[in-house]
Amino acid sequence: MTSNNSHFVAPIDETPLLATDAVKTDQAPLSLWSDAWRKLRRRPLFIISALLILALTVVALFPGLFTSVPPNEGCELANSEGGPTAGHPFGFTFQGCDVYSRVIHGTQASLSVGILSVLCVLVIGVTIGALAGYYGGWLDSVLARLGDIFFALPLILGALVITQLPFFRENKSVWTVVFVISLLAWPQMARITRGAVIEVRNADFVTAAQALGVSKFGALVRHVLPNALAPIIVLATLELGVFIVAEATLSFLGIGLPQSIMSWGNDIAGAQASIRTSPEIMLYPAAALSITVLSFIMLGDAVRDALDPKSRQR
Amino acid sequence: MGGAIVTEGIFNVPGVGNKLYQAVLRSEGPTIVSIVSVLVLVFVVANLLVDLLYAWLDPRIRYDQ
Amino acid sequence: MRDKEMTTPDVRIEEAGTTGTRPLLEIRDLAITFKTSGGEVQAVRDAHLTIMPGETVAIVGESGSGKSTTALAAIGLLPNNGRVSGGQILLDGEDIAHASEQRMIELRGNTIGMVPQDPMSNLNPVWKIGYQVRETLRANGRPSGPDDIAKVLAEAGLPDAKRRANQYPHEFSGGMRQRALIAIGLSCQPRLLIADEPTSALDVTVQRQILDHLETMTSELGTSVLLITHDLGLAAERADKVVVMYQGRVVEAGPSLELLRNPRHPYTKRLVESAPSLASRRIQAAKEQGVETADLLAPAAEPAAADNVLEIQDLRKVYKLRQGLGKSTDFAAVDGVSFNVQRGTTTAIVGESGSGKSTVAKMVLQLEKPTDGRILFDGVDTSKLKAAELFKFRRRVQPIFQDPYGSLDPMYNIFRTIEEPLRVHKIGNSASREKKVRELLDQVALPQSAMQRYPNELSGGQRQRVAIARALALDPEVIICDEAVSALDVLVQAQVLNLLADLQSNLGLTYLFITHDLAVVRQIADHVCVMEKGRLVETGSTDEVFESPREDYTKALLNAIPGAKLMLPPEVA
Repeated sequence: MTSNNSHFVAPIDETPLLATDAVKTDQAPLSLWSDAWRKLRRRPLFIISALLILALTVVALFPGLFTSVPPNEGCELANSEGGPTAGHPFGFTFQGCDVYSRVIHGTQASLSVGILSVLCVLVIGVTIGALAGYYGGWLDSVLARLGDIFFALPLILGALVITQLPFFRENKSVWTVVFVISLLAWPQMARITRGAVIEVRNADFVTAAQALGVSKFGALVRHVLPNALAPIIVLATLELGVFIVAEATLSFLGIGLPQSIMSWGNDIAGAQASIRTSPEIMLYPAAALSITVLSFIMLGDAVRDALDPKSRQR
Repeated sequence: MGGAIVTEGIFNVPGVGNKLYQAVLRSEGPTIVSIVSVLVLVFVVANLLVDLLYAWLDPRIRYDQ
Repeated sequence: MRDKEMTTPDVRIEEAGTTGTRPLLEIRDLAITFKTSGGEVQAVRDAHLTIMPGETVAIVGESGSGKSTTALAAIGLLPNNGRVSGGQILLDGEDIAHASEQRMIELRGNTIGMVPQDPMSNLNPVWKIGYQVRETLRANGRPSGPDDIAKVLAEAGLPDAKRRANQYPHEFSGGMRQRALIAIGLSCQPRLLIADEPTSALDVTVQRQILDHLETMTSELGTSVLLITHDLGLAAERADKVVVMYQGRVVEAGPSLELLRNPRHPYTKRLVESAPSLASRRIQAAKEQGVETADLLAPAAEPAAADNVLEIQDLRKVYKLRQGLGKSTDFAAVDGVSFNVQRGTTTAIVGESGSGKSTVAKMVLQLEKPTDGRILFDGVDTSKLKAAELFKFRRRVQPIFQDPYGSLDPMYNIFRTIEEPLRVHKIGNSASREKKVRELLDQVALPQSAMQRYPNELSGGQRQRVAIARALALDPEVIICDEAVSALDVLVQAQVLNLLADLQSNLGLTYLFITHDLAVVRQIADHVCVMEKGRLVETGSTDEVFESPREDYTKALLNAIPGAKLMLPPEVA
């Protein structure tokens, strides 16, 4: 076969020549989101956290399905710190109220504060971060400094000071808590959005879109933001957990939700009176809080892995 | 930072967090503001140290500018 | 067959005249398998090659051909999911295909050195260059004082080596980093140096310097070199023997000139035909006629000057470089550039990185504002266009960008991508737009089934064809290609260039072609503008510039084209 010395040629049938650059048509089309979803579905971390969150949502929306005992009625001091009895599986609080019922009914307040705060933070943070990152210039400088100021203030400490203002002391409600949390937490979201937008804004496809005649703002909305969404979604999921803890902390300190609203933070504060005699009263709301936060953080982790561009093929 | 208030409050640990917790319960505005100011200062200084440490460890940051 | 090859005396051994006739490295029937989520994949099959002491052998192939994998196996650095599943790697008679990690560590550095591909990511950014050299010297038990380090760096051609040793990688230019990597690779005077695309990230003139230097160093030390490259011209110029790999197999191997002049395997034939550095003429005959008619018409049409679709007059772009607080210095990225682009022809702007060629493209596209000078499109000054007129201008001038991975929005499927310009300009209704998209896909030779796919499912060449389809959607007159084929494999590159040439003759398009690759220019352009450091150095017709370059810089660029001097008989294939 090798007529000429050391000039080797492989038999042609071993490596038939393929058409240059043929399009593969054997698989179903895959968008980034369907690809991420496919990856998510296979992760146990995601399945567990998603099931937990689903369960929590059902509990928050329909607490009546899980307990027939109204949370604030029928509290009898005679039952104070009483152990579990039939119909009252977790026992009674210091005030003689049913612990199980209070934990079930507290879900709603915790989740709604968390979700509402995340929505507010998303609206404020993404808008400001995207504009600052995309347009740059003085707007960016001003917003970056403003963000730095808020950034230097840890969430809880800042909230402690703000809630000392007379207005907040007199008008405690879900909305004031949401307001305080959003006010202090948007800079982080803005910062992440800004970073993601800066990364995408110089991509060729953004320039290409502008060369096609898409306006500068149009390119931001149509091309830059959708591609910057992944870190935003991840942070939003993680922050949901953080905000629920913040609400509980503030309520525990008596500056969050008013006593009239059932929440895990209020329950933990109330259980403090019996911490030495029957610590399990504090255990139940604390466990509910921990499971909720844990499931959101697990969800955030799973979503981060699924959306990681490095794990994407080609 | 927020954690210290809760743990020290619940377990009655005699620390700054506990002091802050008591002040919040009693709505002592000035005490709260002053303790928070000190804590924020600590927080900011710690952040600054971390940033400096980054620059010290990573020559790329040091030589930028 | 292989036995015959071993027993047949190799001419080059005698030429090299070094110790004995035993090959330094011999790879026999090598097979490499990778474990992936979809099961085991065989990346390399039946690979074989022989390197004699002092010899340079090049492996040529496109991305995914298994050329790097073969080399990594020889130095025992396969990724964790890969393993040698068959065959032998004989280093001086010792089979190292399954050698222990301990033994490989002994061999690396001292016996086998490596110059990796990407100078940007292969030096640790947090350690000084000198420290990284010292690490290699120490690991191989050689003297590693400051003087030894400086000597190693100086030998690799780094000026002022003592001071340089105390700098960090980010203070080095790409070429200097590659020199530092060569210094590290050769610091322990290995008997075999594996160079994996050592210069593909560098400008051509720098590439030439570095390869020249590498050649001198290795011939002085008597080092054998295994050069891995995608560029057949470069391989033929630098290596004694060339091994062509395709789909994980060696399809052809032989002395480089013999292989170039007389390629036998269909793949090699195809490769030789389309290697841009070897082609001497424009790619297709149909276009050739077009040029001739244009040439005939040119003298008559020139006085009218209406032929110029683009006139660029004394264009300048100055950037302010910030230097600390409030201070800034001016940096002229483009400095006094003037040239004309004739309708229906291709004008290429050639230059190395930092020459300002892409900035010119951006200004012509109205994506950057010129500091000074004018751009006339069809006789109208584009800087004076109002928003509505600019919108109309966008329909007539379209870009194709370099990076086929960056120029398509990963969130948009192919249909939406190509439809977007039509939608933005409110052309037709959804039915007519879909029809148009189908036509465009036909024009760029993509199947219509690709419409529902996403960019990440397509190869680089396919994405570039989608980008071309998008650019054509508005029936533009001028297309500006900013390094449109630079990131593509040779064969794919030839395919895309052919497509562009066909489209030009069918649709009468005008191209402004920005590239660093003179070889590509020769294939596609009618006129050339050579840029250096923001200035226009030389302009002229492609033939003039290639056959009788006036400026030294142009000559240097032309000389740096790998394989340019290997004159081949015209009827190669």
